[in-house]
Amino acid sequence: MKKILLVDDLEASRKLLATRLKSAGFEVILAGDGAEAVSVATTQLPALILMDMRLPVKDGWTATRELRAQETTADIPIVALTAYDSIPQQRQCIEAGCNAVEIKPVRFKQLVEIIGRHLPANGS
Amino acid sequence: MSGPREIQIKTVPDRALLATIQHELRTPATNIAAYTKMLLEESPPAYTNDLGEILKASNILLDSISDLVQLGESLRSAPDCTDGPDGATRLRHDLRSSIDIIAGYVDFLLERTEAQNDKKIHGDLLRISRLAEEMIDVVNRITSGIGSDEQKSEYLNQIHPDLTLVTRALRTLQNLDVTPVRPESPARVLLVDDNEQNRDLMCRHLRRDGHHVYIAENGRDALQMLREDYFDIVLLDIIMPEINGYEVLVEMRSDKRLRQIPVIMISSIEEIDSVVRCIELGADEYLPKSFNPAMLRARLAASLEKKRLRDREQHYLEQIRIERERSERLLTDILPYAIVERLKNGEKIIADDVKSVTVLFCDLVGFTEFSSRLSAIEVVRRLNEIFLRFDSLVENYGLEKIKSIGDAYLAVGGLTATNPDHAAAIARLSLDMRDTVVELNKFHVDPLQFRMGIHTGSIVAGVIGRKRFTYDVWGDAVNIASRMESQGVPGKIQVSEATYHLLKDVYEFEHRGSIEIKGKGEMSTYFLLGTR
Repeated sequence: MKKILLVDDLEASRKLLATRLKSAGFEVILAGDGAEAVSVATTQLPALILMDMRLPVKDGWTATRELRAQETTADIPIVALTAYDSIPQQRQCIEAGCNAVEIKPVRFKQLVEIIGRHLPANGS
Repeated sequence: MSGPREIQIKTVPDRALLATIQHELRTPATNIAAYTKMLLEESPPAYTNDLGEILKASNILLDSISDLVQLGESLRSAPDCTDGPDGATRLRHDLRSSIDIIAGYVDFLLERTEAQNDKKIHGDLLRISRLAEEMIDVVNRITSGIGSDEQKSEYLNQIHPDLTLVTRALRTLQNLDVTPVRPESPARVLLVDDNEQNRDLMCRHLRRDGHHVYIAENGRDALQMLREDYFDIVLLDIIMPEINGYEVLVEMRSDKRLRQIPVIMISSIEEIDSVVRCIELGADEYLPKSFNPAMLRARLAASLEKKRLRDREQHYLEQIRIERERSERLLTDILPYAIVERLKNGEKIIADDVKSVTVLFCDLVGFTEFSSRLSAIEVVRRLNEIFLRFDSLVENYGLEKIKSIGDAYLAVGGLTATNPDHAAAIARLSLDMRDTVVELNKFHVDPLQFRMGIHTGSIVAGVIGRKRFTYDVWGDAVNIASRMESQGVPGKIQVSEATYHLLKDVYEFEHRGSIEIKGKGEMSTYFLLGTR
């Protein structure tokens, strides 16, 4: 079972997505801020990270840059799941190292598809 | 909302522009909250948690939308602020986050309810889903940027129905020159709103409470329906195409038939001005779009109750008016009209010296002895037969009947301004009275005789007595007229010299001679025979 790290500061969002991802067959781990995201990712090494950009303590862009800078986490695919919709902000995500940017709200079916596209072929 | 249009928040956003955005966002957001609350009441406990999350998110959404006003203020006061994401960006972010949660939970619930075949809940969830999409459309169209006034006006000139509507509503507000429960029984409610969701929501609440709800989609239809049918109360949206709610309200208040119908204004414009103006225009209540169903119920009941009280008051006032008229009529039966007017005006004592009047006494000869032979009813019938006709004659000639005592009848001419030639009028009256008695005698086995006496002179007239009061006359002239009668001859009308001199050119007289008048001495008298 693939492990997905879900990073979002809103509990309601986390709860919902976690439930749905679990019933879709994924293992889900959670983080509520940028710092937690980096530490959990480093220790748990998920197969993919869904990262909200507006986060307390450390924002999503910074967290992404840090993860890219670490050898152990550099290759984990990161999908930005953000409510920031302006072009400059989207560019910011890519430049920080995200593999893809999805603007909220995202339909769950669509999300599953996107995850499928970015997950590594083997279960590493 | 059709076609892609850019709504630009400039560094100094236009008031109407902001109001438009608020309106466009608030309408669906409010409805999402409302549908969710209804679902919470109607759905099985399995869904309560998730519905609760939707409700929470929609409330946060509404808060963000309210913050638009602050956004406008802050941008106006610090247009050059480039520190961090600007206000518009933050706003869109917050809107998206909340909508994301709502859409997510709705999606999840839709999956589950489809499986369970819960059609009703499914339907409402679909509605919420569509509303969320609607909101994303609006959010997508809000772009931030710095533009010139030219660009700004260009956008404002683009045909944007809601903007026009809101601006028009605001303009109507400025230009208007206008000076200003659980219910016991179901009401006929006219609901006027151009938005289908709003109508649907309100309708359901109202029907649940047992009211009969009728719909109008715009102001024109509403006015037509109001004119053709009867409604207890109107729920009126302010922002509508063609004719807005203010205009409907003004129209209603100026139409006599519609004026009394209570009106509850509903709108998402939350400026205090608009509330005040609505009340000044004559609205009975004001409800914000994000209403609490309990508040709707309470305000509806309050307005209906007010109307019922008003109706009852009108009814009572009408009753009072009828009674007052009745009292006046009774009084004018007893007293001359002019005297009643004087009493109404506050005169406490009615006592007049009248220089020149003509007094007529008429007595039915032998009536006393006559009445002893008849039953009470027959006596009254006989007297009424004659006196009622006398009364009509007196009224015809504009004279005053003073009273009748037993079988004696007293009339006076010259008390009111209506008849300056009172002597002639009395003369004509006496002749008619003579003819009446003669005529009536034909119908009876026992004919009646009369004696009449007439004199012209000065008298005192006034209202005497407190209970069973009358308007009466006193004085020498009255006594003389009385003597003319009592010392007269059956079947004859005896007039004094004074009256004779006034009438000798028009009427025919027979000189009777001189008679001794008790207390007066010798007087020359004449019999009135007829006109020349």
